[in-house]
Amino acid sequence: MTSRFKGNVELFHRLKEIFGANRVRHTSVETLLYAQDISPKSLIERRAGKTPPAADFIVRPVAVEEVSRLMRVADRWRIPILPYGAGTSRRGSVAAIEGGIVCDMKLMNRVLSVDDESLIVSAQAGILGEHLEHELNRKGFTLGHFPWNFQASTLGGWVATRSAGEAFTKYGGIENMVVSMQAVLPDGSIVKTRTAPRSATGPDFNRLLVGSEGAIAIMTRIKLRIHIFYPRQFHVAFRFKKFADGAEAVRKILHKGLRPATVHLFDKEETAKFFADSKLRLSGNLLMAVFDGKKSRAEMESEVAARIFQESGGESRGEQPSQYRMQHRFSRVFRNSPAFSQPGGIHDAIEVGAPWSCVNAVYAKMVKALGKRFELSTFLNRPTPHGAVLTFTASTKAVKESDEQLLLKLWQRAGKAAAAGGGALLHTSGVGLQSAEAFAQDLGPTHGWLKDFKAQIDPKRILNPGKLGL
Amino acid sequence: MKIPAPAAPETIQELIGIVGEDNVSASMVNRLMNSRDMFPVSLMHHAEGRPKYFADVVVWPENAEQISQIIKLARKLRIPVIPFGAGSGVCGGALPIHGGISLDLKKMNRILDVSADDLTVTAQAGIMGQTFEMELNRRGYTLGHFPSSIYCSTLGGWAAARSAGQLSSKYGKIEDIVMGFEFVQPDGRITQISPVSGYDSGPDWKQVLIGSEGTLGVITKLTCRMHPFPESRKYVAFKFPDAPAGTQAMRLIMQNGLRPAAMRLYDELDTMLVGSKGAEESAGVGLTDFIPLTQIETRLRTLAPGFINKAQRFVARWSEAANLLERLGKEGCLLILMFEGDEEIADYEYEAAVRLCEKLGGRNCGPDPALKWFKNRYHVSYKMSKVFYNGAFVDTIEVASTWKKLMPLYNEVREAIRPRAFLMAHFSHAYEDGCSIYFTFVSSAKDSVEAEKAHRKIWRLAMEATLRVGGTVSHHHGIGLSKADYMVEQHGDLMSIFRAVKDSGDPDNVMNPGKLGL
Repeated sequence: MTSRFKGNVELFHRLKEIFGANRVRHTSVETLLYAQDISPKSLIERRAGKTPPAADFIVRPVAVEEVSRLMRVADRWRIPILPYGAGTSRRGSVAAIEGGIVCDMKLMNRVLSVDDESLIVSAQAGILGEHLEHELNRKGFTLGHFPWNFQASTLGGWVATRSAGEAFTKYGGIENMVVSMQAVLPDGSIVKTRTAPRSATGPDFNRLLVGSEGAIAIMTRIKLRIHIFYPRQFHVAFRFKKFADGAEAVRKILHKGLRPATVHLFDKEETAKFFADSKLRLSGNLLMAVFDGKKSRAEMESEVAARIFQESGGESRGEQPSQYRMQHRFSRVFRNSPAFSQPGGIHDAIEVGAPWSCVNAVYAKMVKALGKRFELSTFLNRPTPHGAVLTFTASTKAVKESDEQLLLKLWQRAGKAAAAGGGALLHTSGVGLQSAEAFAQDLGPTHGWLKDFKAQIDPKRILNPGKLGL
Repeated sequence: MKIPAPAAPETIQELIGIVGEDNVSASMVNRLMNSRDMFPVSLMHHAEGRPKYFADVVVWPENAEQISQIIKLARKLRIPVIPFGAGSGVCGGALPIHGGISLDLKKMNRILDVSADDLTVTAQAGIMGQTFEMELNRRGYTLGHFPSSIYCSTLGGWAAARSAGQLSSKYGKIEDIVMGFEFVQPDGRITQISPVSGYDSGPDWKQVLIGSEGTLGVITKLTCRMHPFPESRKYVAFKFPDAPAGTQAMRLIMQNGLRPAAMRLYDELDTMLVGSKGAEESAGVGLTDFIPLTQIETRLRTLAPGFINKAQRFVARWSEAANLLERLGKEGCLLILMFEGDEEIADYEYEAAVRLCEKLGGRNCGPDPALKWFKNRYHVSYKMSKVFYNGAFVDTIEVASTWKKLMPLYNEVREAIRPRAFLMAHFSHAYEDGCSIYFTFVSSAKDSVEAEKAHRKIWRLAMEATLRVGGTVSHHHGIGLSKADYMVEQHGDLMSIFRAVKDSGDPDNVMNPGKLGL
């Protein structure tokens, strides 16, 4: 499909007026690069030699005023804008399905201020997550947000997709970290949410913008809660005979009131896979927990947790397994991608949220539904006193079906099994294009309201059209 | 006084068709009962027999389906629907300013499910706070939500008004406690927000409905987090030289990861009225918790007998009294702390907090002041109303800011109000990034008409000061009617987003019209 804006000289000149010649790009090589994400679906298509839909222009703002002017241009031409971070969406969140202008935020990448009394950092939306965390660490703070794509994602991307990191149990999801933000609305107006620890002044507008996946506003500056950084972490690891026993042990420590930063319970397949290259000789269901923060507290909590794990039938495996996991937690995700790029097979991760009373049923039903057709490994993570997330990694070779059909089958079976067990499929990597239908179903009548809201705020459908089912 | 006519007989018949005869009333008593809340000005109007607003009719639905039908009917007839819990809001949020149907949820008051494994409870929106808590206690749990209105507020009201309880530093505010709910949209459709959505994606409609004060729909059923009933409680109090020193201790307690269930710092004036030794002569709570006017008088009689004797009319000299009190004594600021929950963790936190406060120069006053506060913690809400006669009035202002702006906020609001009222404050609801300030002011005018004007002026000055410093105009009382202007001033262009939510969801403006600056 050729976009109606391709080669539009007048528009090109207008963009150059705003951004200067260097920060407006339009060659097909460049637009194609921005058309990639890492969703399994687009990887399958790429492997099949299909060209993904590409944008017409790429602009790289350095200031909020430029974003505001861009909105006005887009309004005038009715051209879509695709806010863009690091391009690691797994659900086609920034796919240029109707062409348009990619608004690459990565030049707006500065930490603007750190309020060391209120523990609030203010940063521009395009900063890479890892850079933000390292800069905070240098100043003695941490954000506590470690999503799987930590090394290749931006702060704005996190907020736009309502990202959840592995330290969710202690620090919450990105929505809990956001204090306030500056954003540009589709009419070009620059708005700010108020900076306060908490308010009872109507709805929480931050929470309307967090998770809006670029469809309601472009976020330009974000203030976040930060914490004092204590480099020393306390690790524990225990082996359990049954997955359910490990899950029960996790529930117990959380009901007692302990707040580990991260908890992972690997099933035996996950343990075998994750530690394959290590010298640790581990097997079975492995429960690992990390405690951080002030030393006396972290030490106390790790000791209490170890005691409870022991009482629940766990066998201690020392600190090393958890330390090893910590060192390799990010590399593992990217190590999976080459395997995936082999033709004739799929690989995807499915996350299911479940209350504690359903965790075992969800695990059993998912294994039953997927275990034969797919190579499956599972871990429990991000637990709260009320439930946990089960992450299922599935891969397989295609036999009769096409890769697309296989991927569809995986998700359909997973959806049924999760629901049958009492859990819910999560759109942890964002909703984007590919989970839009499921998202609309989850929301029920409210999705209609969201659509009408979008139509009011963005009547010309300029901002990231088609995402979130909007 | 002109009393508007009740709803038309046909409307009443249609409502009876939906909820049954027993659940509809257009009687004067019921209409009046549901046409007031605890907004001081409306209290004054009612006390003097000149209520300003009347609902046309009151209905008591028993399920979401009935609410859906009522809303659809209201839309057809273009009459307002005002969801009503127990009427304890202090900002006029439940007042039927355009008449309409008062939708009273108190018959939807059942606990539907308690899950020990998940530590969650599901209940209908109209359950009264104290009943709910006691039911959970009986089963060995606590919700952890203790607004001082707990005896006269509902679970649904808490969510709709973004309530915060006294032990919120440990248990969170209502938006943290509520995991999911069922609600009826302004188009009458019933929708479910999954309790698992804490992990989920997209704009969070739960956080849009919470705090919407009935303008965006009716919450009918909620799933909440609960906690094991605390096995242990530890109390302690410290005296700090002044408010900056005391708030620094609060800040460091939170930023060190400690989570006291209760943590309150009384400013100097408030501390003085508590008394220095855990307040033998008082209720053991600060004046901002408990407002017997006699307490101010008693204290002044001891410290400056001449002042009271000379005062023709004590209530007319608030600011003079405050200045005098501050000159007379330097008692410092009292910080009370309470830790509860699992014994091992509560002990650890208690000890860590004591060490920290001592290191920061606090003087340990033992457990008594904190114990006394805990015992009397709800008194304020139920002993205030006497003040509202003869042109005297009392009200509270709760604002919040980041730690960095907290002292400027405290000082600016004080300077703005003190020429006009007796003003004291406590700091509570602390966070890692900031804290709220709870001001209580007492003043008077020659009659109730003048009192209303003076009351409004004081609010205007306090809110302007708050906006100037960059605080929030409400920490937990909400907006309702009385703070609508400040809501608009606070949010500026952001109101366009809110209006878009409202217009797209409720184009006929049926749900609680005229509130929240909409």
